[in-house]
Amino acid sequence: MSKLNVRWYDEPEQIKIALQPNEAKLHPLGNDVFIIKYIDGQRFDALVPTWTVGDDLASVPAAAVGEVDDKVILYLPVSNEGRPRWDITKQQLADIKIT
Amino acid sequence: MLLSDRDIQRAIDEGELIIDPFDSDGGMIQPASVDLRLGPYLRLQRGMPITGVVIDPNEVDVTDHLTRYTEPADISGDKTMDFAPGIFVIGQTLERVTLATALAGRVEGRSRLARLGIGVHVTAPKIDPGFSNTITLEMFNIGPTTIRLQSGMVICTLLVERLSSPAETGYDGMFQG
Repeated sequence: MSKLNVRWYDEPEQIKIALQPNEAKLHPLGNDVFIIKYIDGQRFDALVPTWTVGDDLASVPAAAVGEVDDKVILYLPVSNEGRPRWDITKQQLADIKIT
Repeated sequence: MLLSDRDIQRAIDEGELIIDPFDSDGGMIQPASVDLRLGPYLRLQRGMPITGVVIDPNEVDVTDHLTRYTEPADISGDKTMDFAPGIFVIGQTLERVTLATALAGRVEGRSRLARLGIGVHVTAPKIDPGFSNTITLEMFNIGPTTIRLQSGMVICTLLVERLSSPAETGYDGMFQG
């Protein structure tokens, strides 16, 4: 996958991703939340700061920043681990996005 | 470029670097870094290395893993924790650090603690642009003696660098609350 194939959006689309109760767990120190989400059988995970996730751990903010091939590039909030990136199809995005 | 003390202060004044709480009179700013303190809640390795358990890092649930193999330690107030040789501890800084998209950071140990055998991260010092959180510390004691930990002690120092250009478009302020 070449970087040249990426079509960056002029403005990122701010979205929220829905999380099921078993998909987000508060890190024992409390400062991070670890997300594991399976989309069509593929695992996507992310470590994100707790303050970016709602108190009920029901959603996480993300930004659609571009496309590569047939996938939308999502950025999630930065943690100690860096910036999580999920590349998913538009249909998958529609399925997990909170409208 | 690594920021000097005066450039660190300028970045703080201009809101590019936020350290909260920040004691402006407390000598936190070093010639080329900012000292950070240990927060009150730790996770302590439970017992000795566990044999027969193999972890696939691509499949691990880090929350479950930490819960299963560590136990909480509270060093708030006057409480302390004795950090024995060979033990692994997860902690976090007292301060929440926020970096603008034009800055990155690296958390490093302090010589005083290093000489006693204390490390504060396991080859994961990088703090990315756009970061806003307390910094998680992966601490170990490879020295010969037990070291007493207390909340509020200076545990590490943050080096701040200015990037050649701000991090990627579409990222600036995206998740700042």
